[in-house]
Amino acid sequence: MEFSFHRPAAPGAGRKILLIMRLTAILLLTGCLHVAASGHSQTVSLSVSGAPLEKVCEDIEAQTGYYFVYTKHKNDKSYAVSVHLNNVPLSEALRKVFDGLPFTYQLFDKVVVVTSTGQDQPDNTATDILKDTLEVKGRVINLQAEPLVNASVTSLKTKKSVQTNAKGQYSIMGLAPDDELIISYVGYKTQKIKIAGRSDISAVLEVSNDELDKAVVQAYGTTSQRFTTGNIGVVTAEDIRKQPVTNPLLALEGRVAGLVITPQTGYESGPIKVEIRGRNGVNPLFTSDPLYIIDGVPLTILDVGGVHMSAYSSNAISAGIDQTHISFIGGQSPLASINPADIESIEVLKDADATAIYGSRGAAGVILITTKKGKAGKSRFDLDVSQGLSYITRYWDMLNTPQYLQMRREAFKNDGITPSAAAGTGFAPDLYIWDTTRYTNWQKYLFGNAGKWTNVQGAYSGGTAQTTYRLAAGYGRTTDISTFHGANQKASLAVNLNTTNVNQRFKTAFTANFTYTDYNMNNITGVATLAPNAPAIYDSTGNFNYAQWDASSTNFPFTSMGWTYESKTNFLTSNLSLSYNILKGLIARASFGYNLSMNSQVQLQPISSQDPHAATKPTGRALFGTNQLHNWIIEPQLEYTSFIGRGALDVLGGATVQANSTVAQTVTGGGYTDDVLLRSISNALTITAINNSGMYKYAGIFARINYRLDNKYILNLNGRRDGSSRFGPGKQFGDFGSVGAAWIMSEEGWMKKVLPKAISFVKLRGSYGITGSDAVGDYQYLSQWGNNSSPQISSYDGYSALVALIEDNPNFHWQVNKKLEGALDLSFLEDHINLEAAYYRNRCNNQLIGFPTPSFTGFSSVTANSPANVQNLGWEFQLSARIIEKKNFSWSTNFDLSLNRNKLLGYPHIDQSPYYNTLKIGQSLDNIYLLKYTGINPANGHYSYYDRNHDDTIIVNDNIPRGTGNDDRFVPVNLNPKFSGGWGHQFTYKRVMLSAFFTFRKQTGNNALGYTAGTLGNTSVWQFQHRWQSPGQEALAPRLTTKPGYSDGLFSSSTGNWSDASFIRLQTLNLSYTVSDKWARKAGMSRMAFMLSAQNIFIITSYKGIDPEVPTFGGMPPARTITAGLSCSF
Amino acid sequence: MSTQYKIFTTLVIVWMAVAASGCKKLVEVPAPNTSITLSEVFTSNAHANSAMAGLYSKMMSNSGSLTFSNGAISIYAGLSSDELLNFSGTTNLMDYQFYTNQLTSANGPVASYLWTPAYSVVYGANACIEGLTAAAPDALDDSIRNELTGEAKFIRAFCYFYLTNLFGDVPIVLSTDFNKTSLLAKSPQADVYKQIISDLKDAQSLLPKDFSVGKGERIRANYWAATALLARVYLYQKDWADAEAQASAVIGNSLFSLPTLANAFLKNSSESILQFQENATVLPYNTTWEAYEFVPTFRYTTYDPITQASLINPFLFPSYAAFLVAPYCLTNSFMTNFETGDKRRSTWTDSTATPSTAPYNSVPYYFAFKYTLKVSTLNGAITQYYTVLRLAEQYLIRAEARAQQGTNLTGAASDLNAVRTRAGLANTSASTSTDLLTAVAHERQVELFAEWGHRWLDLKRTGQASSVLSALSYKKPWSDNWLLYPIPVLDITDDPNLIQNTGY
Repeated sequence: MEFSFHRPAAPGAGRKILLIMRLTAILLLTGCLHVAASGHSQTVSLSVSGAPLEKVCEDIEAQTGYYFVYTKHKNDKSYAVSVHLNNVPLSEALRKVFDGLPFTYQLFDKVVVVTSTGQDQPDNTATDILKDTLEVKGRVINLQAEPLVNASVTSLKTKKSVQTNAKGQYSIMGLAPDDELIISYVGYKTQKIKIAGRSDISAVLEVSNDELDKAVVQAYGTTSQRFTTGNIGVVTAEDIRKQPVTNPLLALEGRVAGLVITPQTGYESGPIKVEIRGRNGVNPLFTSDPLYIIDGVPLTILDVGGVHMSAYSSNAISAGIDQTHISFIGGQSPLASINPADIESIEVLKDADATAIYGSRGAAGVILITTKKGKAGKSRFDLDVSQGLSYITRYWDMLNTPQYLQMRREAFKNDGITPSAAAGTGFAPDLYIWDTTRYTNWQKYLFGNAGKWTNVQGAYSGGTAQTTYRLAAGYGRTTDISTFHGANQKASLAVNLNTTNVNQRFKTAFTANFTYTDYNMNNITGVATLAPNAPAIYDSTGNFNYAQWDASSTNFPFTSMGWTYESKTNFLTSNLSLSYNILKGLIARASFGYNLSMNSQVQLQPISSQDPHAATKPTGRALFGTNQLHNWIIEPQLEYTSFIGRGALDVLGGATVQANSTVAQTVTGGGYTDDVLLRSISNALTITAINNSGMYKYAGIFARINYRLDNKYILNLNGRRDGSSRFGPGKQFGDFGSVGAAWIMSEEGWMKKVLPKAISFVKLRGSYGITGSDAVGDYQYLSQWGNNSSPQISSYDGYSALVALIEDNPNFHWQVNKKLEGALDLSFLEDHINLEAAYYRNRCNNQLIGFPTPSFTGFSSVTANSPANVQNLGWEFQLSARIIEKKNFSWSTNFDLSLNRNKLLGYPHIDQSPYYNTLKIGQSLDNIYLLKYTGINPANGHYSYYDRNHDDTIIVNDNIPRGTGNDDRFVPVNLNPKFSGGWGHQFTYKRVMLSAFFTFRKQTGNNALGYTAGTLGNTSVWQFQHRWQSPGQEALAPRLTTKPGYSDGLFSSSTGNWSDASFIRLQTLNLSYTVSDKWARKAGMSRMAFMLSAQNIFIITSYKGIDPEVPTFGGMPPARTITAGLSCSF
Repeated sequence: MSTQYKIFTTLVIVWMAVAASGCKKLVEVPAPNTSITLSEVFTSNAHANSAMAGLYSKMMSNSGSLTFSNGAISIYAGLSSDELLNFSGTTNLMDYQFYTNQLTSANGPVASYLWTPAYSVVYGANACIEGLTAAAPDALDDSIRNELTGEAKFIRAFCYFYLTNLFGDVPIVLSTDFNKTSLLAKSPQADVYKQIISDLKDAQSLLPKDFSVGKGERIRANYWAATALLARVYLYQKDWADAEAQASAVIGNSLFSLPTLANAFLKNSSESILQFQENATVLPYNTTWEAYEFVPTFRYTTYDPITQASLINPFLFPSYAAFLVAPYCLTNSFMTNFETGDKRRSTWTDSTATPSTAPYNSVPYYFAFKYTLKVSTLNGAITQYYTVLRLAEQYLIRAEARAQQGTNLTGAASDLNAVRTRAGLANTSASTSTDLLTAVAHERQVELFAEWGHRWLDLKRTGQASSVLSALSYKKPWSDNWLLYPIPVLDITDDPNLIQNTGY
């Protein structure tokens, strides 16, 4: 007996009738029935007389796109069908077709399962005698009628398990007629089917939507929260879709416990700091970026141009695609080239068990991005259109001109300096040269624009059981509040194609995503604090007002606003994966991935932007940057799954070879005498060029063994050997591994008895592993002499110059990260509420760092291993609950919370290390030590501080450990958030859905009070109003002064400058309305929805400043974005 | 066997063949294509010369800004002494700290223009010396090996001379291996001088006595550069006899003579013992940093009287000041040092008049004008080179050494007169040792002003700094701690053995 779709039967004789698979009512999924209801509108026209059933089924399939699943028998042709149908609904057609035949049928979504009515059951008398020798065969498919390969079928009584073959078929022997089969497949709802004496049992499994059984992408495969032994956080397409962001990383903010996302600039393409489970390195010079894998292809960027150091971040951040460092925002996030609308899910792998198979590349965690795939079924076209606005929510409260002038005069008076128009000590252009009646609200002028958002996404998808496809295209255009000219645009194309051959053994999957981005940026940073009467930007002729600024010997601060910066990127990521089912349970796979990023940047500094009065006659300057990244990866794998004893065994072995290259080139043209020709390099008087390039190769072999006994005990072992080109000869290879285990306690019989009914699932899991890391940059073991520093070293005496570029060190080797995790998963009320509590402890020793060396050694850092041992320890809680599930109303919520503490466990010879003065053993790396601020001295209006050592002076001495000797900084302040997380709610009422997502953080931050007012430049009203004015006065802000002194300089090193920066932000609010099917159909659509989304709606905080995420006074505040969209499917 | 299976097995076999070719090869990458390794640098004369070019070039440029060996010492040591003031006043707090001698350990220019680039050049010199020593015997011509070693040693000595004079005791870094150097403590100044003298003597023995290496241009250190610097070092060490001997050797050589004041700083002038070559493709193009910073955009004195009158209109002057006044001006007190008739005042300085009203009161802004080209052009013609060592200083060194020894006072006077004569002044009236020393100190002030921080270093080495500078109102409150610059705070942090200078 064979199972198949409608394929013709092999010729030959056999029994007269056949049995088709039989499904009892029990295995029907009630959920499916009403889903399928929408299919009843399909109509059939058919006129046959005496046609074989199979032929009829084929015809109906062709007309409706439905699939028939039935057990074929050699003689089923003898069931002749005669019907005459004309535009008859499918349900009726089926009824007529099967009328009089010994079959019944049932409809599951798009699948028609045909079963025998029983008249033709074989004689089962024999089986009554041999009660436990019954053999059951059948097939396991999904709602798209795709066979589920390696699904497990387990007998409840004998605990014997088998798995399905490439066609989804199974056969299990030795069963008793009253046994039950448990049929399960990762990502699908498990079914329990009573055998009831039958020998043919097939099952249609439904994709699971509950948190426990949903498919979760893991390294080289899928798993579910129920069975995983590792820690994997998931963000779905639905979560991403609700947020008007263009970089998918931003959609992760607050959504995965243990993952901290911190954008570094307000600009769309700017670099984003991503940290999973805290800071591991004592040295901030290396990035903490996790490994990004997009459809199986790592997106590796070599920082050949150096990393970006942000003032507000303790760690370096990769400059990403901008390895030429032409952009003024420190880089371009490579993920900005991914279209969020093409993403199906993002998985964040955190612990050793989940990441070990990626080896050293995954030491800082892994972020897996899976793009959308086609699904079998009728072709559909989805169209999403949205438009929106972004605008500033708050301004800094600054002085107006009269207040400002009063402030300045008082400052000079306090200093005993006579302000004057002449250069020197009392030089005060704002009082004497500038127009004192002028007032400009610089913030409004610079940040007051409204940004615009337009986004159009279209996708065409569908397929059959053998071929599925998805073709998508998207276009987005945004401007932000700082945009004076230009816009950011992104266009993308995505292709996904999956094929399965006739015998179901050979499968291919191809994905390619192409994105073109064009970013235009205007540099207006750092000008919000200009004096309110400062001269205008433009003069009466519309040119830059250099004359007035120069006249006051003050630097013209807007030069860069006259510049143009454009960055265009073509980004392609593609993957072809082939798999062949060699034998039952044995699958060979090979995956070939390639990604490519071609970026070109232009920065133009026209003559018109420069000082026409400068000593050197201004000439134009143009910088042309190109960046190319190539990554290729080949991964052959062999996977064997089988049942050994009562457990399921899954063995995966494979190898990875990957090569990455990054090439960055900057060509600078100088001496242009005409702005019109700035884009033409051949018109430059001088041309200099710099190129940086790096190559990185990585190879590894790995194995994973997963054994699952009785669905209760799971053991997962990973082992691998890694080689990396980043180490010198003899130090290239390292061995690493992990062990993970899980115990599903709720499956234990004794547990079931004692467990309260409300608790439906209890799992304990844990893992321990050792991973290496080679995140040190390339060629650091090699001495390098060249001439590609920027700007270039010129030739001398007719010889081109060669200089040493790095301090080389041939001796460093793999860094070791040890990760330990334990977790408890609980589900309540039939899995309606899921709670996961995880504890982890990561220890990172032998750290590979950019070891800071004093600059007198020639360089300020060298790559080396350092004995510092850093521990990150934390708790993560993740809760999801479907609180109300009514027909018309539902409410679900999810909540995540993470707490991370890091500690410098040990550091032999720390007194000889560069960190002796700043780090303390046993304390957090994120600690800073501060003076204790004791308020404004009423006698003189200066800041005052607590004199720790009572030596009558307040000393900040960076040369000795904090808080020792004469150093008075003894108050530790931890800059790491105490806890952070997110809380989302989703309500649906009939066709309306409302979701809200809050993010929160408990932390201490730099407040915006850290300066002394009185110098040239505007100050806050608060500072002005609370200033000290006369001896004896109790004040909150210091006296005004034009020459801040020692005590003023110390303020930023005191507790006064740091305060609570905790916040709760309503990050995303989303309201959507889906119109009724009836109306949608009238409009020619199968689905239509309207959507309103808003980002950054409000913030609750006691922070002293404009926003806890904008720690500099006068910095650009975060904007609010509101978009409205329409989403339809055809 | 199905087609797919064949496809699949073929791919696997191909891959395995690749893998079998060697695991190591899979993780081997070719050398970076933008650089060569240190050992490769010293495998050919051309590469080795390029490494030396890199050293000189680094001394001339610092990512498009000032550096210790190009402008920064003249400017900052000038501000620290009594020669210069910064026009930006308190607007530029970092500069103002030098002007008032109230530096903080976080002062930017100290780290980025003085300490760090000097030590970066020291690293390059050490690397060249190590590379040249380790190079295979037949890799380089012996003459090249000697020349380059000599130049590297000269450059190292030159860097240490300024490091120890600005910072006092400093770490002596003689290796490129950070394992050996990163925890160094400061060495006493005496040891630094020992190292300088040893390097300069080595340089003398290795370098040619002509300008053949620079193909006739005076842009690469030769025997005479080493000798001239050695003369200065001995003078600073109060080793008068050796100072006299070294200076005499230079003065006695026919390669050098004193041209007119206007020609002294021309490229390859007969006075120059060592000049650094400019490169008109990098900032500040065909001028020196000193002209760029010392000379105003528009020279007031070049205008006709009517224009001049309008420029100093009290209402308009503030608007013009930025173009008429240089970023770093000579102090008015300095200008009083010129004797009547001193041509250096008219040739090497110029001024901008000011309105008669307060706060200007007609007090002019003077500026140094040794380097004349303020407005530079990319790829423009270069007329002057940046002069590092020149003959007039050697005369003054010998005059001082002779006056100190007291054995050849006439010789001292005639050395002094050689310099005075060129300046259009009569012979000195000083004849006693004390008077001659006073005269030499004065002559050094007016001859070497706004050049290489001579005034600051002279005040310090002669013990005058405290009394002269503490008297200036704008340098109060004075402390002798301010005679040494602070060691950049990052280095102190990175090296626990490095102790900050007193007072910072």
